[in-house]
Amino acid sequence: MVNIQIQTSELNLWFGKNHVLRDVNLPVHSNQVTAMIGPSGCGKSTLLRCFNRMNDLIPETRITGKITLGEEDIYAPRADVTTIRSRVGMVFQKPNPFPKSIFNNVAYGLMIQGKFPRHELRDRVEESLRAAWLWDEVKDRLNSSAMCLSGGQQQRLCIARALANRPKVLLLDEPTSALDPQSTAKIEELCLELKKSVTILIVTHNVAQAGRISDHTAFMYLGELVEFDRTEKMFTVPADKRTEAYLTGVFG
Amino acid sequence: MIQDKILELKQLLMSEASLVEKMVSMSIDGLYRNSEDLLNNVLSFENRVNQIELELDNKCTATIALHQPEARDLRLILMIYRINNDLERLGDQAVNIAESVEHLIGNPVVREVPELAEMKRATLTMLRDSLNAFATCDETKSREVCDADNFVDELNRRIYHLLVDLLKADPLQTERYLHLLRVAKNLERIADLSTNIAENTIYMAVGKVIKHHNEDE
Amino acid sequence: MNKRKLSNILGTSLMGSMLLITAIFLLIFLIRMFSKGFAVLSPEFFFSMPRNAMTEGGIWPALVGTFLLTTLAMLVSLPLGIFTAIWLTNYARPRWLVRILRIAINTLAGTPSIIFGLFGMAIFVNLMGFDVSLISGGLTLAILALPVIINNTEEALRAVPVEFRDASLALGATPRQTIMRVLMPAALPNVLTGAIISVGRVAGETAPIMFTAATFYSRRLPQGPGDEVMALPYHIYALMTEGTHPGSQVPIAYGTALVLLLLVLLISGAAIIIRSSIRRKRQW
Repeated sequence: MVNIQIQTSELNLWFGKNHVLRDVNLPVHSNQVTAMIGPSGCGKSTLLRCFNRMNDLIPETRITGKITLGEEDIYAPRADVTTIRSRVGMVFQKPNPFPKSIFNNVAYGLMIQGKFPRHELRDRVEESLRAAWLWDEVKDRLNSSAMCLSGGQQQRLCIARALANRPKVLLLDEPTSALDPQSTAKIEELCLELKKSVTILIVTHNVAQAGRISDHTAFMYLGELVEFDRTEKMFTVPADKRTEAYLTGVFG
Repeated sequence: MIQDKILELKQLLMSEASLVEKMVSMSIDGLYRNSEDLLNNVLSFENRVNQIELELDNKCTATIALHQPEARDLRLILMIYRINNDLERLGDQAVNIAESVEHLIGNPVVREVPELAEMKRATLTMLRDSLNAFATCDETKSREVCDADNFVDELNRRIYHLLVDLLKADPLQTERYLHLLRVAKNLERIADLSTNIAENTIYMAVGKVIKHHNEDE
Repeated sequence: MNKRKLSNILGTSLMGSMLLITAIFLLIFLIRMFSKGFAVLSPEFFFSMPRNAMTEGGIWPALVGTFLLTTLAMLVSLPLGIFTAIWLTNYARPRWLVRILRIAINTLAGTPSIIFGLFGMAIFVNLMGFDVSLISGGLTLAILALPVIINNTEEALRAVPVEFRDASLALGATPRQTIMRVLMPAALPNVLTGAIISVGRVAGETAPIMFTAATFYSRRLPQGPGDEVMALPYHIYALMTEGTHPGSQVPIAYGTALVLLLLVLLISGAAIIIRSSIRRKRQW
């Protein structure tokens, strides 16, 4: 029984006069990893940022169409952006922990809601750090600065921070492109584990990474969703010539 | 990740292998022992083998597409792919033998060709050894299998000449003698395929190709 | 020697000599101040009231007055300036209002300080009826400091990496929470540095307080915000221009100048130390 966690319908986006996303209809399956691949400038990062309305921060952005999370359209006029963003977490390309302690970083999303007592914060922080495979490395120094961690650890910290909100969907924007191969491998395995509890949407310019960890892949080109299929099928017998060209390295 | 996938492929191959082994020994035994419904049994096994062959085919392709294996992993997967093919053909041979056996049920003609019994033993040994060697990645055992092929070829030649003589002596039994010839041919093919498997195992283990007997170069 | 090398040497020497000239000027300035004013300095000079028609005694009331004026000015301009800067960097709507504000700030920043003095006199002293007092002077100085604080705070906020803002918003924080919990704490050290430098500037201004707060002589220390005060820079000016006994008063003026100079140097030094310790500890 296919369960779609979040879905775009006829999504179009303009940055000023630039038509950046064209009629995108993308279903994201629950508890699966969906990868978005495509050459630079194809719109995959822009599309990702639609899912938690981060594009709202860019001036002169216009969106038509809708994105439904569960039952609600997140672009409805009445929709509350902060609630959406706590349900749809994001991890960025460059690890960006706050210049605060490890504890305060992970607890941030909960503290701003203001309704969690101290002991519950502690529990959630531990739960999130364990889920991000970082607990053992930092459990003795939760009060030390997050900036002292290595790049790979910082990125896992950012994942823990996003997980603290217990989001339904986790958006990953090229999360390993700034990391060394070992950290990359660790985070890839982490994704495979995390998908049991959260739906994952990952943008990657590394096709092999999409092959390794994703269940479904969306190929984007010039703002269009060219092909969307099970990764296994797309990587062996792609339906569209453009997909095949990209996968075999003809461009991008 | 990829190690799990490879393990899965290997296990699938081994289950296919044990099915094929069973098919071959069942059908050969049918020559000497009357078994009920031999052909049907063998055919039902063959269905299952064909299913696995398709599944394994797809899984190997997918694994290569999704995980870009290198070096040892790559050789392993390619060899699983090849051996998969060989196993399916082995299954076919077993079916052929079973079909011939159908025509020879109850007929003692096979006792006139004692070399066939020897060939049967040798071939079965080669098959079992090649599959075990693959499972344990045993280069030495694989080489032994390759060497044993000559012996089986020799037996095949002797059986051929023997049958030619028998045929001339008793033309009324032609059909039966031809079936026996066919069985011998099938056994020889089984030996060949076992040799293939052994060669593939050696490539997988050490990366050396010894096909077409070019090892001495 | 080829042409490029030659012009490089010429350029470097030119810059070096400019630096030397500047340094020499500064040195002469400091030495002169020191030599003329040092004789007058003593603990009594700092802590006692002026006596005998300003020919003897100390500058204690001027010190107190400068302190009070500066404190009042900062108490008004800091919150006002910081919140304006926050608004400008994070909300900034509607566009026409932003434009007006920026013009206003830039104009204020370039206005000669004597005009602040006249403005202060017209508005605080006369129109609002505060008379020449601590409060008039403090408010005038606050307006003087305002554009500097706004610009400095804005710059400090813009210097905070945008990744922090993105991360905070992506976790479901409102813009206000993002500013209060992430951006301001990160910008605070730089904001503080700017504030400290403003203090130095405000303490040394003469023209704004001339008509609004300062008096040449007051018998006692200011008792309330409505009182007029003495102030260091004004004291110097008054002694040099309106003094009746230049023989004894000129050295006092130099002494006062030296005190003011030292004060400014101390404050600038503190700001520099804080800024460099921030730079060292900065983790991003």
